[in-house]
Amino acid sequence: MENIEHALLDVKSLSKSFENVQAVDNLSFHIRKGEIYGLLGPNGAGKTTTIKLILGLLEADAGDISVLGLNPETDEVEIKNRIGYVSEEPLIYKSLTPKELFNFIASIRKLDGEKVSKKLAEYLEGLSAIEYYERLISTLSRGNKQKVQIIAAILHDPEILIMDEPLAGLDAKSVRVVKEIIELHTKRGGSVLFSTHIMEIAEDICDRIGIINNGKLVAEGDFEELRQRANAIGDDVDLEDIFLKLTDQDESINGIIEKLRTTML
Amino acid sequence: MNNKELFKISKYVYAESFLQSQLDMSGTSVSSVMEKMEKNKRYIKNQVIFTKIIMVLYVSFLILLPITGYMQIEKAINEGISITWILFLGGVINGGYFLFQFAYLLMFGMFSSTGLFTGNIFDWLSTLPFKKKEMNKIGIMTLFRVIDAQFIALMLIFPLATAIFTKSIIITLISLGISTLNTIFSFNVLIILSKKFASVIKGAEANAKGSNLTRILFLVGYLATTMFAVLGIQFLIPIINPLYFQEPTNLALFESLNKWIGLVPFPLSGGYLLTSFLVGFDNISFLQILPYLAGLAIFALIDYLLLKKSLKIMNDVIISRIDSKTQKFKVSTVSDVSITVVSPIKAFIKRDKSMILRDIQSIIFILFPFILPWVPFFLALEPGTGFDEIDGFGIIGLIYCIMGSIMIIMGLSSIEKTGTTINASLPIIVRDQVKARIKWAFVIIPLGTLLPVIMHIGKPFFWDILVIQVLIAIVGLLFGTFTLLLRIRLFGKMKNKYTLANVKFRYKIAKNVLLFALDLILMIVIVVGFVSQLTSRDIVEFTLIIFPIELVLAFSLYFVYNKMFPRPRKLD
Ligand SMILES: Nc1ncnc2c1ncn2[C@@H]1O[C@H](COP(=O)(O)OP(=O)(O)OP(=O)(O)O)[C@@H](O)[C@H]1O
Ligand SMILES: [Mg+2]
Repeated sequence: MENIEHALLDVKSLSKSFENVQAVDNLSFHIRKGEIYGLLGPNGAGKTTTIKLILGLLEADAGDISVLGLNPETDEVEIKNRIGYVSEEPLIYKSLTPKELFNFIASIRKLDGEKVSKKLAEYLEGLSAIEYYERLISTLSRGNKQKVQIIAAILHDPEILIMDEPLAGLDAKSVRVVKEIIELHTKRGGSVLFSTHIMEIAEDICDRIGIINNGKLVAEGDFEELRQRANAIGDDVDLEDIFLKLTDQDESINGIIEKLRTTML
Repeated sequence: MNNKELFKISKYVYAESFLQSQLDMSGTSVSSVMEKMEKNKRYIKNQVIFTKIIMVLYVSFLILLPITGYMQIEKAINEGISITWILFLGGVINGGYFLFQFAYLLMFGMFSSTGLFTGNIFDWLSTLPFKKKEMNKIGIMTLFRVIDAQFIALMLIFPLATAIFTKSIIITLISLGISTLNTIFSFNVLIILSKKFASVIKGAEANAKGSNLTRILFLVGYLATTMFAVLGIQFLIPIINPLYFQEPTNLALFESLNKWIGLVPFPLSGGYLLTSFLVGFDNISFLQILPYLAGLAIFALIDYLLLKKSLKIMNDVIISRIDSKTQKFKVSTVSDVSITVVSPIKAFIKRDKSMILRDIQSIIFILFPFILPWVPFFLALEPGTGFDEIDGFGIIGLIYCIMGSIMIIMGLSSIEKTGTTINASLPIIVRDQVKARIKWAFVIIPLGTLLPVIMHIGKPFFWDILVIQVLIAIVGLLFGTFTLLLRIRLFGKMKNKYTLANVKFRYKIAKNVLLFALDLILMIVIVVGFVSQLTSRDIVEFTLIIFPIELVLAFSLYFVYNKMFPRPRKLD
């Protein structure tokens, strides 16, 4: 019961399948206030599907989701008022300019024009995106689109930030700034659900990591806990090995490397 | 590598350039073009063939203008009409034909040729081991593939028709010569303009005002030529041909006109020379055609200079020497950031406005409700004075208004495609979203339907037409709203279009067919009902019957709308 009280986001026995893929399989986890939770898993593990379910963008086959005590299937609008979402694919109106997009978003969210202008200017400057402010989004590079999307997600000071591979395409400086944004967001008491397939990023950013494979949670814990599990397997084993092992990739990867050796050398 | 092999290779460059042109023209709806391609591997091929056939068809249509003129010339001479007048009309009409032909080529050629210049399609060739000379050949061959059918149509249809209708070898040869000069001229201008046009619409500058304007102008021009080709010629021929027999009194004026405007190299010199031969040297002296010959000589020189210029452009493109002008972008600063918050409905409308202007497909959808209602007015420039003639007018008007309202709903519904993940993250109240759509329809449909009524101000049946058009506009609105609601019912709420794809987009084709069938049946029912009432009653009775029905339907739709999108409940 202790979990429920502190959990801003609670997922219980969630399942979702597409025609012939079990994308999410009896998945349970929760995120506490002020916590950065990382969903770590290889491509196709079910991270994006889980996130879409949480947002109410897909309908679950089974399971319960509670976001800020609300049900995504019935309280969608209220939930979206209080969370920020950075999607994997930045489909963010390519025929608008960031300026028009932010005006649109601020109006839909009914924000205070003056306050939001100030904040927006700071974010844009921090992420060195200010000079693209009045260009068509379709002409921006992938990374700059991503910046626009991230700013769009934090403009209204959400309580939970849900970010699907948010660092994809960003340069080193912007990665630093986004990390800072995430950090400050949690200091304010906000929580973050963060998906990535890159272990170092999860290790670097997240307080707690759930490793997910084939839609199932295969390991969960903070970085230390996961390392202890790795050590328990063998001396020489680091986190990458355990990640590959837990996600059934360790054997196939050795085969692949072997093949590459013979063809390239 | 031999020429045959190079020609084979140019096929790929050509396919690439055609795709590029399609993408350029579509502005920001690039993804939908790509999607169509994925679904239909023959999409590009079909488009290519279609564009070519249309062009050839239009030119064949247009040829009626000079050809029917030939026969008038003979008749007019026999009836003793002054040669000066015949020469003038013949020269101007033939010249007009050349000009139209030229315009057609630009309209249709541009669709396929801008791609040669925008997308660096030759870049990948330069990564392959070709000699410079071979690259040049490929470039020219590609260009030929782009315009082969048009080239042949432009060059040969006119002399061929001339041969058939005059059965004179000399006149045929002359028309072939003029046709050749015209064709060279047209293609060179096409290349030069395509290059200019390409730099205007080039992706990175897609935001520029000039580029949007160019797209819109181009589109309006395209629609205008199409309408002209289909409808205009039919009207022009009966108007123009009798002119041969209406000799003006001030022939002296035309006599000097014939001398001077006959010097204009394109398109008049050719038109005049041809007419001179049609009239025959029994009727005019050889001296009289000297200015026309001079004009054509200048024309040939112009052709030569243009050819040099366009070859240079081609050459530059092929070896990628095109000046990559540093594009001027506005670099914004912090002081530019100032957010104005408006109501959600206004925000949707503002967003739509920005997006529609940048997307050629959406522009078409928005323009049609404005253009279509003119058709009946155009078809019946003088719809009589009695009420009976107005009936036919109302029927066509009704059909076009309904079509316009379907188009606008379709256009507005597809507009959000590129912003689906942002929409997925926003607390959008669907009612607002739908309301914004309906507001668009409520401005455009009545405006588009009522504007043409202006043409009838001051006529005795003006009020009848106004009342009918108002009733028609209401039908259009009801129909548009119905289609919108049905679409949402079938395909799910718009905000989830992308993310709910696999849930709601099952049976997509079946649903589209259903939507189309329902719309069609409804349209037939409405038109039949409307017409049966319109033809059997006078306008007052008609209004008294139709208007209450419209009111009842409007209230029912409002009821359904409220059921589908209830006002959001207040959370306390
Ligand atoms: N709309 C869909 N229709 C059918 N199958 C889908 C659909 N969306 C996802 N899947 C399948 O569900 C599984 C999980 O996909 P998901 O996108 O959630 O993975 P992911 O962990 O986000 O991967 P990545 O790291 O590549 O983003 C995959 O096998 C995928 O093919
Ligand atoms: Mg994913």
